[in-house]
Amino acid sequence: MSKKSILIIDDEADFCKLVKLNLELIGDFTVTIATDGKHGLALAKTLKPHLILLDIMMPHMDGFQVLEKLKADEATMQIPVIMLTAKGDDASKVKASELYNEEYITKPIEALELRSKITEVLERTAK
Amino acid sequence: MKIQTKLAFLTVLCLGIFAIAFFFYMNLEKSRLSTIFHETKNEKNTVFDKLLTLKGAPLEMLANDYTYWDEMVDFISTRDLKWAQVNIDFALPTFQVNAVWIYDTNFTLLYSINDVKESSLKELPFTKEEFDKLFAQSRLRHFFINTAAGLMEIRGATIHPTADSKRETPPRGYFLAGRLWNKEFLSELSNLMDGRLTLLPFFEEKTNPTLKNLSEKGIINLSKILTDFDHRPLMAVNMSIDSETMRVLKRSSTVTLFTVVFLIAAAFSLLIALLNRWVSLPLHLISRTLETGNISHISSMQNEEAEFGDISRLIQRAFSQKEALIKEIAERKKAEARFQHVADAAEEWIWEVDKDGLYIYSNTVVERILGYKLDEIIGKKHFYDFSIPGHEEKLKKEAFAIFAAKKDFKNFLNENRHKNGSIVYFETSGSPVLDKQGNLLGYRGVDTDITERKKAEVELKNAYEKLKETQGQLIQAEKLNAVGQLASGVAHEVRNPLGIIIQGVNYLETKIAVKEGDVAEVLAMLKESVKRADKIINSLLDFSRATSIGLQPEDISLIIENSLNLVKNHPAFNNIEIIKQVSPDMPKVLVDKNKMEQVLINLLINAFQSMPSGGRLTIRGYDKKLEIVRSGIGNRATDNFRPQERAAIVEIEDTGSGISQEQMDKIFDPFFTTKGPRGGAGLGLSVSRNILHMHKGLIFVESQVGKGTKITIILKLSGR
Repeated sequence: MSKKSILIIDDEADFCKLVKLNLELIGDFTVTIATDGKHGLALAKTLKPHLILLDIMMPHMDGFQVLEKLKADEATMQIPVIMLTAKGDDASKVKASELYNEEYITKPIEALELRSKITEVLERTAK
Repeated sequence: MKIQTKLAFLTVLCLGIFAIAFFFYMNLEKSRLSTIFHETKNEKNTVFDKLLTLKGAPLEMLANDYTYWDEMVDFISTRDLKWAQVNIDFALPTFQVNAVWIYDTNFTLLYSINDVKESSLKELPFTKEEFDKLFAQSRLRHFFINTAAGLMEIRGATIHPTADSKRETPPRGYFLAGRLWNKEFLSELSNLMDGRLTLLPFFEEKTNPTLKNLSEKGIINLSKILTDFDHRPLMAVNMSIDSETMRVLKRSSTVTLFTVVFLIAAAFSLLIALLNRWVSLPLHLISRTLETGNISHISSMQNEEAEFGDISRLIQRAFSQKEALIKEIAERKKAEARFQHVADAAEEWIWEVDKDGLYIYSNTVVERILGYKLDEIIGKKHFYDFSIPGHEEKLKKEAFAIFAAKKDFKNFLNENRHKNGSIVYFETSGSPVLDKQGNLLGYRGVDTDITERKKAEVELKNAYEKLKETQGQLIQAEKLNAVGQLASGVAHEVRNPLGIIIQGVNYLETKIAVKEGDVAEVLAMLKESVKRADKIINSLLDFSRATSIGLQPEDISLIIENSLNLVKNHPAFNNIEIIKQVSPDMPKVLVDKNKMEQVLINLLINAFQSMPSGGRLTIRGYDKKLEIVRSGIGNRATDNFRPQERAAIVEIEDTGSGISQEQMDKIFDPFFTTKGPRGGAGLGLSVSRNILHMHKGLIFVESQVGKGTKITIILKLSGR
């Protein structure tokens, strides 16, 4: 089985870099980085990754706007998304899980934990 | 009873007594007269008997003496008529006898003679059997027969020889002599008896009305019964004696009687007239005067010296005094009405009590301010009867102390119960009422109803308290809001770097295959610090997030059990003896289960941390009626619980280090912690209190340094 491609959209470039390093180190993934929403959307369309890690709090276009666009586009509609947030407020959590039926992870998160979450989502959506 | 009636009654009574006395006197007089009458009658009777005996003596002598005589015996056998004519015929006038008959033993008439010239008297009118009977019983006989010439007294005897004077030998013949009771004889007897003698056919005396009536008129009637040969009554001889003595006696008695009656009647009439003049009439006039109030009725008596004069003068004086009194009373009533009007129009309750505090006067204001009618107050209630429960004794003590000192008092504030049960506030002022000797009779005073003012004061106070509390809450809310915003902002800003750090650490952990020296330890420290920072962020978020709760009836025992399970992994858990005492039949509590678990976990962890080297933790759950009025339990709008309300209690008691007094004031402040940098964020108790506050619950902390801490939570029971 080939490596799963993961797209991470987060304005924290350092965080993206470290997640890429870790996931590619401990998991069978290729990770592509986008540091803003617009760039992320474009990459999602072209790359069609297996899974998108999407930060909520971003300048210009926040995670929910990105998610909306992803879900609106037939090309990206099927890609599972795990929302990442440092905000930790219940409203975001509810919006993510209930509105778009997507997973939700709070930063800080350990690499192993992130990997198992990704694996879990991928296995579930593969069915 | 009117005096006139009494007098009339007295008169009738006297008359009655007099009538009875008169009746007795009459009877006595009658019996006296009767006795005299009977005595006289007996005397006359004796005399009459003696007279008859005397008058009958010659006849008896003839019959007795001529019959024990040898010559007579010889005559029976010889029948010598010559002897008979010489001896018998001559004897007739001597013995005043009218007829003689001599019979032999066979009752054959031997000789008969009479001077009446009546042929029917030739022989006695007896049959043979009657003759046989005549001497069968006695040898001497005395009886009467009716003849054609009139009533004849007969004496008979058997004939015997001279020697046989006792007539013991058998009779030789029979000798009978008779004497007529003719008019001459009767009138002679009448003259001798000074009466009137009559012969009457025989009647039973009692049935003879003539005789009876005669005896009633002072006439003495004596009656003798004359019998025939066979002892049968033949005639009655009746002697009427007109007794002058008796008549005089009777008349004098009657005269005396009438005189006495007349005198007494006159005396009574006089007495009645005088009583009427002297007593009844003045009394009547006095009573008319008193009835009508018109003293002209007794004006004629004014100048009399006697008692009625005194009375009439007294009445006149009394009337003039009465008029003055009426005038005075009218004026006083006017004054009283004026006062009453003013008193009732007043806003204040004007009253007077006696020395025991019993109301003896009250204006009508009391009806308005206490709800009682005047007749429910006056003479029935004491001033302390309106006191609110529990304050009566205090009020009595204070008030009677003032009573004892006879002091005035002003604006004495007191709480009272209105008849409808509401509490009313009065300000009371009063002055003592004293008698001439200075003894306390009671108090007079005024109560002003200040309930509205008091209510306004209380409302103001409540409003102020509420304001203060709201202000406190606002400040708290503002604080929370600030903390929330801060937390939210900080969370994002801090968690991103934390995310980077942890990812970096993870990378290094994986990348540095050989864990040299301190590297592993340093990485572990980095990870631990990141977790701690995250925990603080979470606490901050919890703190700011405690905004809404979902209340459900829950089993507190279950919540306690869950909380204990969740802290099982605490490092101190195993050193601590945990005692759970939850009342088995405890009703459900109204809580947000998760929030309540959060509270209990916070408290349990605090307790564990206060017992680092072990100890005992007791967790209790029970329900009870709240009694102690403390912060949050009371009747103010801001109090979560009412006194006597049933509530759930959860107590967590540890044997840990305790909390000092200075710390106690700050334990609920956010970010206050005694646990140092490695402990919590200092938000646990603050969050817990906020959660309980949202549950309308309460939390109290009692602690003694070195001994332990007891935390009491009071929760609402799910309604009934």
